[in-house]
Amino acid sequence: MKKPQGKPTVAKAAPAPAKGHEAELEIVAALARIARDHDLSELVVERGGLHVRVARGSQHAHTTYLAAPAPASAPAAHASAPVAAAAKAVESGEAPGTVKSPMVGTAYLRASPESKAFIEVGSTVKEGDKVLLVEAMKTFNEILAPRSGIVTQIYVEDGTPVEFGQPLLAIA
Amino acid sequence: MFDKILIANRGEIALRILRAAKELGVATVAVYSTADKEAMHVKLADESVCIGPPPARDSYLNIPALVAACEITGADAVHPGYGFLSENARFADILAEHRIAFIGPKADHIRIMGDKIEAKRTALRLGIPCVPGSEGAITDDAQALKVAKEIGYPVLVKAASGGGGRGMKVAQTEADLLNAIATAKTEAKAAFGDDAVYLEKYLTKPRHIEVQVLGDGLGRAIHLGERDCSLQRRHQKIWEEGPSPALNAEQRAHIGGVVAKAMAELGYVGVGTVEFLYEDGEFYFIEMNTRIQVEHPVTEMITGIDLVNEQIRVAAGSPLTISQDDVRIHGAAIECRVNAENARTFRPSPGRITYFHPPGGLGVRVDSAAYQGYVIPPYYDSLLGKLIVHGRTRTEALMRLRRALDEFIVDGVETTLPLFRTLVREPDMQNGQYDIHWLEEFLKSEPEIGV
Repeated sequence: MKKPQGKPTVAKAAPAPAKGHEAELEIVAALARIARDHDLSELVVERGGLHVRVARGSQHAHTTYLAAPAPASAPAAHASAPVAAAAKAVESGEAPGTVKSPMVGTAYLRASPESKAFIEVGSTVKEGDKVLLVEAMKTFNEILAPRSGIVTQIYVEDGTPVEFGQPLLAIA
Repeated sequence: MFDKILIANRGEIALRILRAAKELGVATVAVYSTADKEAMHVKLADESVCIGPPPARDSYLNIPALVAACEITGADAVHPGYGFLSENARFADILAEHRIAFIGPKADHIRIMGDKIEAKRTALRLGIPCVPGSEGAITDDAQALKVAKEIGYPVLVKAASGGGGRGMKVAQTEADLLNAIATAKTEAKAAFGDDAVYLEKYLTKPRHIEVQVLGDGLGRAIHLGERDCSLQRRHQKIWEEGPSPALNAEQRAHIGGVVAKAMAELGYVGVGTVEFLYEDGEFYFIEMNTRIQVEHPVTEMITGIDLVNEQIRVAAGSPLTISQDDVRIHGAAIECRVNAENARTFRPSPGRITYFHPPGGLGVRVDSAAYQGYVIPPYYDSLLGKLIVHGRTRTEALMRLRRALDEFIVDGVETTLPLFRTLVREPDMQNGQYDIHWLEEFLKSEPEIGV
């Protein structure tokens, strides 16, 4: 799903870098600054074994789907060292057992704002268990687990618009 | 003006709508089936939403998916293009319930014109001349025989829920009539879910001449001249031109005036086309299309008026800014519908376009969503694109068309370009001497169709 160029979204926190990767972190930080200063929506740099993609805007670009997007965390703008999502280049981008949305609508991870989420990463599910809701035209449609297994990924957040075929979660 | 238009269509018309929306500064949402992921208008739109798998009923005809796509993108208007849901009154109603504008006429007008019997009744009431025929649906055999005798054979049996050339059977003599009615009813029930049929006089060598209209629903409607779409194969138009080689200025002004007045009285909003069969100086209403049509560029080229732009404006509530006097016909335009089909057998030819070079130059327009490397999916119609040329005279347009056709290169799939290269060299085409049977008779004669 392509979304409009909007305000810069949250800079996704990269996993804590191991010691000795300060140079890489500097590259990433510098690229993030360049992207912001020149109002670039996307910037990709490959150097040696390092592949860095800095994106400002939608996290639902309908290009390569990253296997493991980090949950959006840090608020935007005034973080002292905006860190972009450092990601390895992923060819097909789909984890095994990906469950895709059968419809257009808004995905919800819980029955109501106060309820517990149906699933989390690591949850064990049985085939037929309710894992998500997708709402459209004021009707909530249940997304049921197509197989039993363990939830390895959850690709959407509560209240995210989804399109047909969009990966929702992965059950391995 | 709308903030955001969702384009509920695909292919060249989706691109056409996108272009008009962009020029109006309105944001665009492209919806697409998984087969259309690489469509040009999807690439160019501000936003896009995948709405379903390839089959049209699961995607482009999927009303819940379309409404949901409007909800998640915040679109406040939908342009339905042509085909698909463009003349689906229920879709227009549902959008209205969700407070989303439908860029098209009022649902009631779609309904009236969608029922061919009701359309004819309405046309007659508004002073539009019609084909002599039965008053309403055929009720029994005795009535059918009586009416047919009054009209005179041959007689055409038409499905009330048909249209676009579908659901018609000819009865040459009285002996054929009841059988034709029975067959037509059975087929109509299967195809349209409604077996109501009516009778019309069958015209032997008519031309298909249609008048473009534009109304604002606020009491104003204008006509933008006519298009001659007589060249058809199995009721599918392949070559359209305007002005019609058969009409003079008085006839044009007369029929245009009748139609514009009718649309103003009806309170019609948006663009529409009133279709006639024309024979021996007489016009006979057959149906009205309450949408933008494939061949609209012909009118745009000879009037200089952007029909999709005007359509969006009136849908947004703006009164017509063009008066009838502002509409001037300049020169002549011809459109060829280039299909991805074998030019002799018309077998569809989906696949990858390996080389694409459209023609250019003064007075040449190509409305196509194809591009080099594009893979034409097998699930939808085979229209590759429209080549439209304009000239100061019909002769200049014909010369330009010949030149443009020779310049147009499409490799990787078969196209009907060779057919048009043959047609443009045919004396009857050059003289404008053709009727609605001409093309099929020409094809039956097994002409040499080159490359």
